[in-house]
Amino acid sequence: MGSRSLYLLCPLIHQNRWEPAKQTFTFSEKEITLKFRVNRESDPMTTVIQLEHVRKQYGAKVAVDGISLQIGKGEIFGIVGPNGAGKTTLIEIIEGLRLADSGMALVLGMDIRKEAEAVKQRIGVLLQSTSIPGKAKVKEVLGLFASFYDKTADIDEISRIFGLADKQNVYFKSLSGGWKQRVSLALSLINDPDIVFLDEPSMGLDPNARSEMWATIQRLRDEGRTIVVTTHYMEEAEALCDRVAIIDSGRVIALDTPQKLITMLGGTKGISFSNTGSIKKESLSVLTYVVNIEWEPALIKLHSTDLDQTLKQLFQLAADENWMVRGLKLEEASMNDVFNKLTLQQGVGVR
Amino acid sequence: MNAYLKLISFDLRLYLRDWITIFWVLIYPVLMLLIFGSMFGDQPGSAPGSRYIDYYVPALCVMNVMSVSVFTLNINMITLRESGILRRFRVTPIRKSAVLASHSIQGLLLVLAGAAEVIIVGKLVWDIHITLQAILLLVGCILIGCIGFFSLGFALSGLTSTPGAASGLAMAIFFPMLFLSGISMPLEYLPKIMQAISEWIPMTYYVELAQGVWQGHSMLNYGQGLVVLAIFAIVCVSLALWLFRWENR
Repeated sequence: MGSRSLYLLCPLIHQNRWEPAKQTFTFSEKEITLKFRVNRESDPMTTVIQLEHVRKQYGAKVAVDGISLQIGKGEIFGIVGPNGAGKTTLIEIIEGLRLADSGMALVLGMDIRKEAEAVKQRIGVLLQSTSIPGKAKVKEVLGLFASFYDKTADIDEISRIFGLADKQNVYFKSLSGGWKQRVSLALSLINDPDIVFLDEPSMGLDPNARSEMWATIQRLRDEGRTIVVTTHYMEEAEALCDRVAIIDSGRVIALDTPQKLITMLGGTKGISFSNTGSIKKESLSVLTYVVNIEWEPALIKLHSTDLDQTLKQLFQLAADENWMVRGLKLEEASMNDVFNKLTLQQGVGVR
Repeated sequence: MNAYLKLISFDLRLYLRDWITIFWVLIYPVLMLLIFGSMFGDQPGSAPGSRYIDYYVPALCVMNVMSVSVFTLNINMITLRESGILRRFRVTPIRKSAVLASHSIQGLLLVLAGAAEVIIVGKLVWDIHITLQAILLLVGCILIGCIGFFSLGFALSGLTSTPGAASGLAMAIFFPMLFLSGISMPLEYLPKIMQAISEWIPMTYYVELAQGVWQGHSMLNYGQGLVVLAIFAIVCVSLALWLFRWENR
């Protein structure tokens, strides 16, 4: 986890979006089981979402540029990309919030243009910002949303699972950020949906709350639901998603499992250690497999194409020059690297 | 159907928790009644044996229809849209007709509560003559007006994006209607040019209809007014449906 926590500080990904979480999003310590639904077998061979050449343009700006993809039943499908890449527009088209200019979007075999209401009966949506009337009580909101659907989950059960049982009479506006997010998540599951759309679900949650959120999402998948999640956090895409589509300038520039994307990158690996002061920058040039050196006052980071060889040479060099390798850390390539490499290749990067 | 009823009771609770709206709808008409009533209330009206207060009471009842629509409904819809609540509704199977119907019912309840209050204050302070027939006809008159005027409020909500801009627009419509439609003072007191303008304001016909039925006249005596209100309703309902938006942008 040590090197992973660095990703949290990566300015490229987080920009100004990182905000300190106001409330820990902690479920009960006990193992949570979402029992309100009969488990369905996941079957990645069954396509639940099918997009064919979906295109959406705002004025001169093409937000979604002819995207085609399939999402299978029971997978956690991640949509990642820089701000303005078109991922929110894409997810909104599938949810029926926006009409595509052209192309076709089939959700659960139904055309979202023609059968929007039937589709909405069977999907659950967590929008990016919480949007519930502030002066409504939790139980009123749950009851109201339940009434919108033909089929609903057990409200008491959902309240219990999300720890909302003793918040039933609290006004929504009086809840802290983490609790609001829980109510929103509970609402998105109130119709026992087959597909759950989560737009930036861990935005603004602290790391602890975030891992609770991940656990919930994985359980939802284990129950046979399909999860479509957009995220800024590559760490989240890597840890959570079965498959990831990287979107840039309205196009899918990569789509595979996180592991395959990382392998495909064939990338370099990172070796970092403390800059103790007795190390000379010039002497590091003897390390043959190192393609790049990041030299900082406190830390030296080597990017190597062959970890084993570089380590061997590094310790040899240290022995020859009589200094110690201290604070050594090794980093595997991550989704973060994949993301940076692919989006920078496109010449867009993060806006 | 369950969704409609649930939404209506949900919205009713929210309206009852909104003290500013309650204050505006219940206090303002009574203040108007007390102010204008104390100035002219006891003066003889145009019909034999009537006083001006007999004209103020029905006029203020229907003024509430307009103020609830251009202020309360207009601003509430914009607040719902601006805060993303309508957007959240949109990813559920609920229809826009349910949202509009629920808010119309809240508006109607507010208008009826305001009317009851104005009538009671009129009775207590000026001992106005009340008949059951007059009350029933006035309620009918309120129902007729709600269709057009509430739609006007919903249509207005499609024109602006923030509550601030909405209340500016609402005031620009409300106050000219208030003074030019014969609510605050009899039209005879207005200059000729103003009287000519007032003939083009649907509210003028609405006030005339309400005052007429309150005096015991049949609605059928106001054929021209009813036609004007019907055209106004058709235009406003069309505009409301056309201008309805689930989200700003």
